[in-house]
Amino acid sequence: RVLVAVKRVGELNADFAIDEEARSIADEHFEHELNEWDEAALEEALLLTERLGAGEVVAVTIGPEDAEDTLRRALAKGAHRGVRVWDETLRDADPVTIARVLAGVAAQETPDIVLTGAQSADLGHGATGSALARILGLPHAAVVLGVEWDGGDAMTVTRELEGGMRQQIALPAPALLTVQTGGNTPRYATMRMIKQAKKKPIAAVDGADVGLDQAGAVVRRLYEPPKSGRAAMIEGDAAAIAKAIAEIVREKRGDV
Amino acid sequence: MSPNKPPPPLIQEIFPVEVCRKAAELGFGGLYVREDVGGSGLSRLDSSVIFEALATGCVSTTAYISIHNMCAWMIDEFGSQELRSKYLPHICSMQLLASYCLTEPDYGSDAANLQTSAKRDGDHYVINGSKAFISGAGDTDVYIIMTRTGAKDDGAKGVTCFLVDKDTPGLNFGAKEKKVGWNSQPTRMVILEDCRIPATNMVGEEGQGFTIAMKGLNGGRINIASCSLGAAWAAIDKTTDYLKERKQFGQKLSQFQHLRFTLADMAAGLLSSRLMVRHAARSLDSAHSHAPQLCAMAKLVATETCYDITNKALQLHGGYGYLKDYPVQQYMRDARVHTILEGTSEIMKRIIASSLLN
Repeated sequence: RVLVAVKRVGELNADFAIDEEARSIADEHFEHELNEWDEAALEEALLLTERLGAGEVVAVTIGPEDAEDTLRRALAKGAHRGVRVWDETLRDADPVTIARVLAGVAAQETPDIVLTGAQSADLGHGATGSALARILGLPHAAVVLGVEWDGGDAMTVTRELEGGMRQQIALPAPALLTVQTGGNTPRYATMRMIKQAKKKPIAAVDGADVGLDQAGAVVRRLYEPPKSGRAAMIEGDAAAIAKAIAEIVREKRGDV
Repeated sequence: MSPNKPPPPLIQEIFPVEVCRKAAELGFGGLYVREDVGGSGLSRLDSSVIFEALATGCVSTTAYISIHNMCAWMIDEFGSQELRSKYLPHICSMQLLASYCLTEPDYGSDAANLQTSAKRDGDHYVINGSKAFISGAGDTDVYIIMTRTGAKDDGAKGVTCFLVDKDTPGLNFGAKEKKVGWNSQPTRMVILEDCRIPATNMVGEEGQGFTIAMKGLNGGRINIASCSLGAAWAAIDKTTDYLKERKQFGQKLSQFQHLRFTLADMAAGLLSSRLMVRHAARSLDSAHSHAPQLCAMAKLVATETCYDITNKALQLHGGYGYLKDYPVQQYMRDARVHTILEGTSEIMKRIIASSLLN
């Protein structure tokens, strides 16, 4: 069983406004979609079960009712079941809190492997997956491009490093992997699968059951940094501009 | 001053079969065909939305896909279980591509009087005649052909529908037509000379052909209208971008009231067309008794309005709109034929008038 955590992320419209008092941005300024990294994680989960010829992919999300469409998306792509956890106290929860909730679901589902996206497109902490691994006490690898696993005790995982390099590591199973985009090509859902997804089960779980007595991180301030006017416009023809740029570079480098 | 015979096109015209098959992988090959034979089992409304969206990319290819879908539906709805199970799985996957043959050189709008004949001969029928302006002909695999099994002046009652495979002896094609638009799909004449097919290739009953044609065309009209919507939508998008970029007389074009009002009219026209098309699609889905007239009204308004939108969009692009480097002219050229095929605007008016006055 592969447990995949998916998030309904918001992409900001061109003309958004920050409510500095509420320390948030109103919902109307967002276009919502399934997090790109989670799509990669889901695709990896589907590929794993296809290669193994067996297995169940369960998609879990933390969110209110409108997060169900994200789960339906995951189901349309091939996930077998969905789980949605929610409680008002989870609104704007920090990654560690989210990880605690997901750990609760994992305890119920007892997956053989847990996949999350390496980060979310909106808040980008890149922390939820790793925090979840720590809470579950699972070996983990982050920023993973691909997994080789025959269902046994160990797996080989390819990670993305800077400069296009790759690292291969061996991990015991079960494990948690945070998945990077670009390692696979997420499939499109066919019309039929979109229809069938409507019939697949989504369990709604009350987040209050998870026991969140520890306060998580709180947003202190949300603001756009002031735009400073530190750009110098260089005038003149191409030769004059090139000369000016060369002088600036020499100056910055400390050459005389 | 008169031009010479038109030269071959400078731009290569490709029928993108692989792209169509990729679309079929997503379920677009048999959108409203039943699922037991590989169809997607979607509604006409779903299909309209899909065709509109696809058409913003390419009107011509989407229009072909919609014709293929109409043929698939005819086999699904009227074909024998044998025909359904033999052909539809491959048609839905677009391993087999379909063409629809109703129009003849002498019988276009007057389709009920078509003359291509089909004569029974034992377990076979022998077909003779020709069909004109057939989309995909020569490159497709399965031909849905309307023939006359009855007497010459039987009109609609004497028409029977057959499915003909591409390699059947006696099935030939004319030269590829040189069209103003719809150039991602080949259009040819289909010529039948003592073309012998098994009687089991009849789709529906003898004499039922015209009913099949008309029922198929109700949906086909929504599909073509949906393609027009996509063309207009893309044209409006391109125009909006252009107006914001282009400057004349020291101002962005988007500042000139006349152009603003023109764009506003275009947007309102698109929305009104879209609502008519979707309303008609829903009427087909609910098998409403007024569906044929609603489909005719939707096609009439949407194809005419959306062509005008693409034409205005070209105008708003000024000289650049006339260059093939810019996509807006393609939407205009492709949308131009939608007021003609699958029932001319004039025939649509005939249908609507009949529903009101007869």
